[in-house]
This record gives sequence, C-alpha cells and structure tokens, in this order.
Amino acid sequence: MNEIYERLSKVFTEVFDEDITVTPDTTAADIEDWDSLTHITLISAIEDEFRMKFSMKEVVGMNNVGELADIVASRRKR
Amino acid sequence: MVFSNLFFIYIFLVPLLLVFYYSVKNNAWRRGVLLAFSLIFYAWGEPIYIVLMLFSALINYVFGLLVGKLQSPAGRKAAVTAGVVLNLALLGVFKYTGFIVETFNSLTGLGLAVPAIALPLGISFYTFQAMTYVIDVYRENCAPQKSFPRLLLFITFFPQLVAGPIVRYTDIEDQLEDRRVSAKQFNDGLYRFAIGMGKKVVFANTCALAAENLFASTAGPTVVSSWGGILFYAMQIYFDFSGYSDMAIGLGHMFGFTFPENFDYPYISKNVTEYWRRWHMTLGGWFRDYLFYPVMRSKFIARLTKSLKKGGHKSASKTLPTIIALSVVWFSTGLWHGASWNYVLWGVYYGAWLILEKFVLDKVYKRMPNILSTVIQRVSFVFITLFGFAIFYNEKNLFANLGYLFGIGTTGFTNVYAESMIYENGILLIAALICCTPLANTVMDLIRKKLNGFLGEDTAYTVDRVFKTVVIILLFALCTVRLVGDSYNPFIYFKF
Repeated sequence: MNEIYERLSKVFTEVFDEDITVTPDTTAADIEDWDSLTHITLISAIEDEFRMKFSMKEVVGMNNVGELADIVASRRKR
Repeated sequence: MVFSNLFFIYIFLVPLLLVFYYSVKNNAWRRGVLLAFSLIFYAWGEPIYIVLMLFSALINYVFGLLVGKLQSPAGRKAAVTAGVVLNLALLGVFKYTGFIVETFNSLTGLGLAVPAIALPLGISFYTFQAMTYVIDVYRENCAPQKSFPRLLLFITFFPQLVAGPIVRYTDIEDQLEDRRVSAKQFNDGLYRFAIGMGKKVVFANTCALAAENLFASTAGPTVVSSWGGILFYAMQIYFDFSGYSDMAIGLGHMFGFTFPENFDYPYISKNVTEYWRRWHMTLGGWFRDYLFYPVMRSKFIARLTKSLKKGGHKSASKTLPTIIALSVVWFSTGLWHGASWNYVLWGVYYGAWLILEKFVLDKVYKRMPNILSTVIQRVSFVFITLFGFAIFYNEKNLFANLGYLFGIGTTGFTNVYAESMIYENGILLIAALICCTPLANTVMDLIRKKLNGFLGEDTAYTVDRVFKTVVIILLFALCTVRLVGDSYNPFIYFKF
C-alpha cells in the first residue's frame, strides 16, 4: 500500500506541477488546483501509471485519496 | 402556468395542498395526486405537447429497463447510446429545426421554407433531467425504475418541470419511493417559496421594466443607457431565475422532496470560474458529469494525449485535451439556452474566459501582490459578466447593440432620458445589489445565534418561526397586491 501512495504522490506532483505527498485523507480541498477540470486529467494519469481503468461512477464518487488508492489496489495491473 | 401567478397560487396550489394533506394519507395515493396535478399543470400551458412529454418519458422508461436488463458491455453501451440519441433527436427536432434550416439557408443561399415549430414548454429541462436517468442506469449509479408512473412523476413533477433546478434521477430516487413530510419541512418550504416569489415580484419584474425602458429609449441609444440597461437586466435575470429556483425548491419541500440548490450568490464571485460554480449550478454539474467527463475520457482524447506525450509536448498534453473538451461543453451550453447564434456566441465567450483563467490568468494573478490581483479580478469580473449578458440578451441586432456599449452608433455618451431613468430606479438598483449578496442571511444568522444565547434554543426557535411566518404573510400579501394590478410578469427561462 505504501508503494501505491508513493507512486500516487509522483503522479500528483506531475499533474499539479508542485511537490505533493498524498495521504489517505488528502482531498480536493487540500490541493488548490484540484478542481473538476484537473480531476479528470489526474484520473487519466493515474490510469496510465497503474494500467487500469476507473468506472465513471468511481470517477465522480471518490471522496479522498484513500478511496482512490483502495480502488487502485484492487484493480492495478502493474 | 407560472409560479408567481395568482391563478397558480390560489386555484392550483391551495387545492393541491388540501387534497395532498387531507384527503389521502398513503404514499402511493399521494404520488398519484402529485402526478395528476403535474399533468394538469403542464397541459394547462401545452395541451398538445403534453403527448410529446409522455412519449419522452416512455422512451426513457423503456431504455432504462433495457440498459438494466442487458448483460454484455457492448449491448449496454448500444442501448444507452440509442436512448441518448433519441432524447437529443426530440430536442433537436422541436427546438432546433428552424434554426438549422435558417443557418443552412444563409450558408448556401437557398430559400428552403423554415418550418414554424413552437418550442414545447420546458423541453430543454425535462429532456436533460430524463437523460440523467438513462445514463445513470448505465453507469450503475441507480437501478432501473420498474414502475412507469414513478418515472413519469420524476420527469413531469411540476416544481422542477419547466425551468430548473435540473434534478437528477439519483437526487430523488429514494424520495420517489418514500418521503417524510413534517410541519417544519412544510413551513420551510412555504418560507422559501415566499422568498422566491418576493425576488420575482419585487425585484425581477421591476428591474425588467427599468432595463426595457433604458434599451428602448426614444431619445436613441447612449453608452450610459446601454450599460445601465444591461446592469438592470443582470439584476432581473438573477432574481428571476434564482427566484424561480427558490420557488421550485420550496414547493418540493412542501411535498416532502429535497431538490439540489441552483444558486449560491453568483455575483459575489471574484472570477468567471467561481461564477460558474455559483450560477445555475445544476446545469454546470450536468455538463460536467454528462458531457465534459465523457469527452475527456473518449478514445479520441486518449489518443491525442498519448501522441502529444510521445512527441515530447508534455505541457500541451496536459492542456490541449481540457481546452478541446471545454470548447465542446461551452458551445453546447450556449446552444442549450436557445436556438440562436447569440447564445452560441455567449457560450463560446464564457468557454474562452474559463480556458484563459485556467491556463493563463490564474498563473499571472498568482505572481501579483494579493491586493492588486483582487482589484483587477473584481473589476474585470463585473465587465466580463455585463458584456456576457449583453450577448445573451440580444437575440436580434447583436452587433449593433454591442457597439452601443462602446459608443459606436450611439447618439452620444449620455442624455437626460438615460440619466433620469437611472436616478428614478436608483433605490431599486441599490436594494437589488444588496439583496444579491449574502448580507441579509449573514445578519440573520448572527441574530439567531445571539437569540439562542439570550433566550435558549426552544424560545429562539419559536421566535424564528414567528418571524418567518410574518415574512410569509407579508410577502404573500404584497405579491398578491402587486400581481393583481400587474400584467408584466415574464419568466426568462421559460424560453429555453
């Protein structure tokens, strides 16, 4: 699980252009540029990183990075 | 029927409430009563097109079941696509046929006859509401509704039928089954309805007159009358549409339903991005979830992003997909508002500002001292918004009217008529400007908190109730008096 958070932090850093370390409790409110527009760019970047797909329900429904990481853990291919 | 109408209030709503609360008790019967009254409500304005609405509901019912029934991903996708296409086809035929033919004529120079199809009341709203159902069944956000009357009630429910908020099926899925009605909820609903009616009758109708008088100045257009007219129009459209949403949400409460909020003091925004999170929120949410996200997740965008990355254009791979998707969304948002190019232009105008803010201006402002960037943003926001409304307002003679704002084609900068018109309505304008901020609510909350401390919660609650009841009575009395003598009561969003 730690490894997932490390890699997620890397993706976040890349997408938002600033140093970010995510924890399970990180939400969109904690990161200034994380709005509905960037959210989808972020999702695509995470999908590329772990070679998996989120469903639209998951894209709209996730509340924090913890939920996101759980989905990744259950479905990742690399 | 419009909500701020004596016939609606006294001949439709009062009997409905009596029947709903006193003659039937169980849920199924109450649903039946609401459905019957909703159909009467719609048939009152559209005795023929009600067939179209029923047909639309039937299509969505059938496709909802089909999407739920099919197992294979390809089959499900085909079914949801067909459902969406049918919805859009109905909207296209009844809203855009004339527009398409006219545009085709002017492009090709042909003179095809333009069919005169009257716009069915509320079709843009109920079609979008219905589409959330089929799409959310596909996305497994909800189960297909097996009962046709229940789905029909969702699509035709009169408070949310003709002009927003755009209620998603998932918003009220559970409430269609079972809902609680309490005295408190009823009172809150009535209060909300009265506030909405007050917004409409006290501010929207009066600002509408001021705006029209300024635009129709017999002394010819001036720069002052053009900006002044747009300012009053901005007030009118806010109080008109947010008032309508208040009335809709209030009516929902009266029958035990909770609808999503639609406005959050949009005029206090500091930029366009924030504005669109506060103005017509249910429409913005709709376009985000049902158009922006699907476009961003389409194969085309995925391929584009990949090839940009491969080509070493890292920053373009992050921005270009969003720009393309936003352009699609805002072209569509403009077109949704009306079958006319000024609406499309208005949508594209806002799309362009949003793109500019996201990728350029925000970064520039971040480097400035806080005070400077705040001042620049607030001032420019006012002009961006007013200019936007100028595009939105002028279905005809758009460019001539936009020219007046900058002194092109005007009879002068100002004249006596324009000035006296603005002085005459000065108090109205100041009151309207104050009331479109959260000031009144903030003060009320403060007083409530103080009262809680002084009197204890129970007594303070009673005081609050008495206060609200007085407000309700006063507003109903005032609006009744105003409406009896007043025939000027247009609802802007009924056109869409």
